[in-house]
Amino acid sequence: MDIIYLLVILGLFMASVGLTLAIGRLGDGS
Amino acid sequence: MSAPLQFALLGALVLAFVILCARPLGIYMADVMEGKPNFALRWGAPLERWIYRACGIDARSETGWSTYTIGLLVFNLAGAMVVYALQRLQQWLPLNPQHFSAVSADSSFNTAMAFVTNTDWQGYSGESTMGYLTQAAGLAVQNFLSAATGMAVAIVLIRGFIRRSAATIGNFWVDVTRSSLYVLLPLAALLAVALVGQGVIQNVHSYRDATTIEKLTFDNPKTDSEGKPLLDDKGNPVTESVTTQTQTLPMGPVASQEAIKELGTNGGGFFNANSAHPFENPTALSNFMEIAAILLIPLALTYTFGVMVGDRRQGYALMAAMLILFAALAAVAFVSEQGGNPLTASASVDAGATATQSGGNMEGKETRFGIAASALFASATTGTSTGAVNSAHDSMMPMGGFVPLFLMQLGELTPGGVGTGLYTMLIFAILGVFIAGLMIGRTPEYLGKKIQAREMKLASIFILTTPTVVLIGTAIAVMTEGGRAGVLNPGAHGFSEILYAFTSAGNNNGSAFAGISANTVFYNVSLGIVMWIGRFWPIVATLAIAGSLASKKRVPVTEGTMPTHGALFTCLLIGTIVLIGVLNYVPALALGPVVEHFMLSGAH
Repeated sequence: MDIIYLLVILGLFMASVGLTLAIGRLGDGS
Repeated sequence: MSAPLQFALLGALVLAFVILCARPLGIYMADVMEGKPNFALRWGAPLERWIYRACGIDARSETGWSTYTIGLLVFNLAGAMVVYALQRLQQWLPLNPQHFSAVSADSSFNTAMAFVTNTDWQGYSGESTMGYLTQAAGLAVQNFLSAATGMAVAIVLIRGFIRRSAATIGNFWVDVTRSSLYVLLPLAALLAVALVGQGVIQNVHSYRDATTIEKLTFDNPKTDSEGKPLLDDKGNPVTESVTTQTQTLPMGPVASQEAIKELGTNGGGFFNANSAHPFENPTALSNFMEIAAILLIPLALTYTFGVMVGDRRQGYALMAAMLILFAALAAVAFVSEQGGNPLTASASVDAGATATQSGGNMEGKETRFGIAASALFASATTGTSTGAVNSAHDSMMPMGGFVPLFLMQLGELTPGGVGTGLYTMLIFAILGVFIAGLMIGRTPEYLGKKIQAREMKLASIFILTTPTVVLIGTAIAVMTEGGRAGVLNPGAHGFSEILYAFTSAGNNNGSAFAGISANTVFYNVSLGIVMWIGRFWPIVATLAIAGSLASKKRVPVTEGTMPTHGALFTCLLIGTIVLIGVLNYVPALALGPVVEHFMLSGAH
């Protein structure tokens, strides 16, 4: 059971890192 | 003294005290976070250097926003893992005199998410679940570090405004170390001593048994091996009748946790009753100190902002917006509670205030605090990201309960959490100048920085993340068996309980409307996910905005520049906040507290 919850925590972390990287690639839109 | 006068006087006293203390603290925080030499940095330098050496940190190097963000996320990932592990392993760890077994996996996950995100949502009951090591080394440590994380993000956003054509925004490890070492630790030590003086306990004794004068018979809910309530075939709690003359008094290192719980706008109580428990909040004076502690750092950060941007009036404008919204909504809470339940009045019960009774709605409130101090506490705890409670929000009148719910939904910026309040307010300021720019046909600017498409896209991510997770989470809970199973009240009030739970989690508040059994796999997992996304996605967007602003040149002030330090800007800011809050949440609020209010009025 523990491994599932630790993976969920890791998944949430990875999603946040993914958002950071995606924003990093976002142009200035101008 | 009349009840409204009592409320007005108490509110004015608390705010006057906080504003008085906030000024020197705000200036001090600006110095500390920017490394300007002062007495604290001189005294703390050896310890600070030792921490950097021990952790292999180069304090002189700075990073760009994305490296800063990833450092922040890794730091909080590690914190979540530690809190999870401490709960799962506590039966083998020291400082567990009650020999509590491991916390269940889903509850451990939820609590780990709650404490790293500064939410401190508690699906568990502290005194019957957590050993002292878990409380102190897991939960209390995160109370410091999550607050320090919030403060670091706010400081970085300020740097974004003051730096010109800069590629770096700071060093996350230095920011977290300084905010913990020079701001949170000394303040928490002072407050802990003051609280002990009022009777808050501080020990590591095992629980004490006291013999009561009278025998007590009560229905005790049965629990399973993991401490969760047993339910019968109809879903009702299974109880057994118990007669006892013994009362167990829980002990623990409460004052040290209580202090940072309020100062760090965390809110996770040592005991299940939180600040309503006499060992956490024993007197009217301790209650005053706790409300002041909740508001202190968030308000002081507006001074820090004014000092760092070189124009204190900018900070005053933000503070005015925070305080106007806070005072208005706290007054609504007080009037609703003091007005009491119309059905009680129609039943010929005298619910008016007299010399011998407070009148109004005292259900769920401590008699030692009364309605004024309870309404003020409820507004302070939800206007910030604290979530501590000294009364049962579930027992408030519909419009009284609407206030904490709406204060959270506004984004917790009245005055908001440690750091989170300021950076949320600054995002609304960016939105405000953008809207004003659209109206007058000029390129929006704030503090000499042009607000362009990139900043608006990021501000949109910030603004939309929380309502999205709150409303989708609520919708899923209402539609699924697991979500509905936790609700103990039918109809509109039950919907409010679910909406409140997800609002509290998504906005990282942590207070509960109670009346909901949240220690279930459904709520532990769903609220845990909502807490993480509601905390870190807006932080990612904020740091990206900071990086974007820091890289820009400063445009000179001209006659066409909209002033952002006056009453007009404060009104614009309040309008923007209320407009976005209302647009996001009115349909949901209409199904909960609003319809409940009209049902009550109609019945009357």
